[in-house]
Amino acid sequence: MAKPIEQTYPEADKANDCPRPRDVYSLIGHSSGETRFANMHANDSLHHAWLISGPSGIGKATLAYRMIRTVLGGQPQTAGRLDVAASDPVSKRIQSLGHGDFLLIRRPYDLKSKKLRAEIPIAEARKIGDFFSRKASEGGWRVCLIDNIDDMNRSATNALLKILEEPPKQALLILLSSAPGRLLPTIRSRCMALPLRPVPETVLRDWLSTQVNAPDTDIDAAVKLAGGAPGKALAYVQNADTVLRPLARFIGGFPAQNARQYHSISDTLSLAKNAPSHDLFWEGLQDILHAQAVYAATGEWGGAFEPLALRRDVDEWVAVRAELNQMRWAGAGLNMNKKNVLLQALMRIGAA
Amino acid sequence: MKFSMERAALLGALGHVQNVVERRNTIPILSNVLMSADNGSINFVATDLDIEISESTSADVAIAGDVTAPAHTLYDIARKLPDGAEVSLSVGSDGRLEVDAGRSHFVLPLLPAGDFPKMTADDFTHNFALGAAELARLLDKTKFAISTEETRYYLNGIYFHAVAPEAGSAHGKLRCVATDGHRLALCEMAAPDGTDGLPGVIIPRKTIAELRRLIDGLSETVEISVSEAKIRFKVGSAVLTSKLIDGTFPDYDRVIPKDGDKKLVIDNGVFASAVDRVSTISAEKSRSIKLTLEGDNLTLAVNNPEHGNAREDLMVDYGAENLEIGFNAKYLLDVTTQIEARDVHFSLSDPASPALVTDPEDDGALFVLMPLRV
Amino acid sequence: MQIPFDLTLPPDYSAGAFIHGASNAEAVDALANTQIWANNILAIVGPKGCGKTHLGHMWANEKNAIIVDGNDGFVPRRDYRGRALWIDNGAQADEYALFTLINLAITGEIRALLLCARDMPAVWQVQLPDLRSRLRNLQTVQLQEPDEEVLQAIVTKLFKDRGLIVSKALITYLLSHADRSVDSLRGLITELDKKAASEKVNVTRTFAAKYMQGKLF
Repeated sequence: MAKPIEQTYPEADKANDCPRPRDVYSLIGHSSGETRFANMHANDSLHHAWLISGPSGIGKATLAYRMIRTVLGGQPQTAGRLDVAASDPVSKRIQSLGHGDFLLIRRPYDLKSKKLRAEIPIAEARKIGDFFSRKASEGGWRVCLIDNIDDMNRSATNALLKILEEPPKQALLILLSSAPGRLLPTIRSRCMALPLRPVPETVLRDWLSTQVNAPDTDIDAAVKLAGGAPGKALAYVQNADTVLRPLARFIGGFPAQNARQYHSISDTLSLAKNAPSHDLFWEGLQDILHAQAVYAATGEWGGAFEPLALRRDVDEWVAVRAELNQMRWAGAGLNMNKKNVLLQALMRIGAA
Repeated sequence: MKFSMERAALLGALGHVQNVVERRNTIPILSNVLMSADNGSINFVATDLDIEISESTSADVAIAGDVTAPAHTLYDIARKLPDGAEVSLSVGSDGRLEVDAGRSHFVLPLLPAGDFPKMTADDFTHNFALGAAELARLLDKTKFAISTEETRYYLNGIYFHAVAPEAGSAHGKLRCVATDGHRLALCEMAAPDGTDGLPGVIIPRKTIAELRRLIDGLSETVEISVSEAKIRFKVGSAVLTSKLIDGTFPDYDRVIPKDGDKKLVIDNGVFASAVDRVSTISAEKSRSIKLTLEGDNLTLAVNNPEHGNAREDLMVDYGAENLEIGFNAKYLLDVTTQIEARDVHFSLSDPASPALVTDPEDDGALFVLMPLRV
Repeated sequence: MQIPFDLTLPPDYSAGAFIHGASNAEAVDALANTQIWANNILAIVGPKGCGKTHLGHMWANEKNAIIVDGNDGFVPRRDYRGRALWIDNGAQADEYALFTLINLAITGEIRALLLCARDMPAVWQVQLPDLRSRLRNLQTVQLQEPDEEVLQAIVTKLFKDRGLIVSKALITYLLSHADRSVDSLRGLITELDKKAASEKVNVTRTFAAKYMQGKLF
């Protein structure tokens, strides 16, 4: 009797339809931050705790993994950079999470309830103390990555304070945050701050063009919708048929209301196999509504495609966007039929 | 990779290594066993990142190679195969592991050997050997006192070190000490060759448990190697390598009482069962029990306003002044379990000072208990 | 209530663990310049807990000096010649021993002699008049009670020596509510540790506050 194939569990640090950060070897942008770290490492003057902050998806974790590979003995290929190759044995053990001197702290997957936990509980945070109370497995540095600290509850954060204040020798902690302002000042004050910015559109566009063979319109739309997050931009382009085109058609349809089109879009996206596209579509929709509100206020269009041909006040657009957000999360929370939720949302936008 | 071996050999090897693999693991590579086939033998390795256990065994290797496969699954398969079966393992064309034995055929997913954790075989500074039974004794007599509290992480293991010979003695000792802040256990033996200058190391609790499992019932020699960061135990073809606790063990000698002037001798079995009975009444965490010594009478008492009272009188060998002292009943029982002689010896001084407990038939072991205020 | 062991870790007397500040700069400086000590002798004095022993260990380690304690009633030995020597608790040492060793240092047969004591050698209680005059002329450097910054670091280290890592909030609390001498802080920390160990809880600011308040009543 054959046993079922080993499952891969959902991972909290993996963004929708994007590769896992530890599997990514190219960094788009953020070169000054990388060089700063590389130099400190080369000079043996590495601070023991780093706080990498910035909006989600822009490359914080990607940069963190490059730092980790280098500190754990991987050989960067370029001076002043952290470009350790995927073929480096250290890289492989980090990717498999089988490196004895690397601890990844993220929202855990609960095997009993078969769900990702909503936050990082203190039981996870305790692993940090245990980890640093043991000598190194491979004789060098010990590194802990917290992806991300915004998910840590209060008692978990307190458990972290002690190690931040009194780290052992050759210990490195990297904290990722997209809301550093909400962090405990005691934590912030002990970390070297490395704030990252969204990747500029030109850089993103250039990079995206080298990754996929796609028409310029798709690339433009993806770059606009991604908000400086390379993984997301790539995801949009890869889902052009199920996300970008329907979005373009939906927006271009106004001021007419095409019920049949709305049904068709929501039918397709609610299919199980299209789950990543479904989420991307929603994000795209919300992003466009935001751009629409800005357009109504300033006359400047910064979104994908063209503005919707609907005359409304800023306030109304803001309200619609908020309402849609409510619908999306309420629907998800109540496990409502995905198709209905999306359909209602699409119809709501056009309704006066 | 392709090899075959007898079911019993596969079961034996897997049995030794698979226990260290954590059951509920969300990291796939850590659920796997690494198998390296080469030159007529297979090396199996499993790990939880703190402890690594490996076992080598001979096999018929047709194609050399390294792969990793789910440890518990493979072990369960081996267990359920019939005795005497010849098991063949090979990597199929689709990159999965095929396990064949008689008419049974299994296919398991593989993960690359390069993903598997590497615990470096460090620069060991000391190498020595002792008998498995001797090592088991050292561990058994002390492991019950290991602390489980996380703040004092340096107490979460056994302090394993060499003690210089006393004046007039030729041989030093190899000693194990464990304490949780309330009680202490010490067990030593004559230091084997190779332990000169052995730095004290703190062996983590889980390592002790795995090691104890590995040497259970064996009579062979255990080869031990120590470095600043790791300790390695080799017994037969099994090797256990573990990280050490990165901390300093406290100066335990200071808390071992040397001047107890009140000596108590009592039948260990009688004492233990009386303590057990009397403490049934006690419901609190500390299960506190009061000992009153008057002449040759020892009274054990528990006073629990809500749950009732209990009391038992015992005849003892005691000649000092009257004394009233309290202890945690569980601590008392943990120690009596370690006494092999018929009698147990207590050396006491006052109700706030530690008690020294010894076994008249084993001068290589001692226990210290801090009292409770009653 | 379960009484815990009084378990201490050996204190960290390494150079890396010494906390430098204005209160001990002069002494640190003097120790780094053994070659200009008058008659090859230096006395370091200061209140309990200010770092005399720590400095002594650091210096002795660097100079491979012989370490003796005035409280142990040591007797000078032939193999002291040609070596550096540190006498901790110098005021308690035997007078004849002191006299001999000071003379050996003056002639250079002892390479360098460091004395540590609470009080200035000039006021040590000695009977031998020749020793008294020698002591009065010793080059002496004083350690002060540490300032705020150094005190915080010392308190952190005192906790660490007991194997405890504590929060800044706790340290600030202790320094604002307790007697600020290093010696009494050391005693307080020992008590806190014992009480926490007995109840098997962490030493936190809340715990310290409860303890201190309980103590006052």
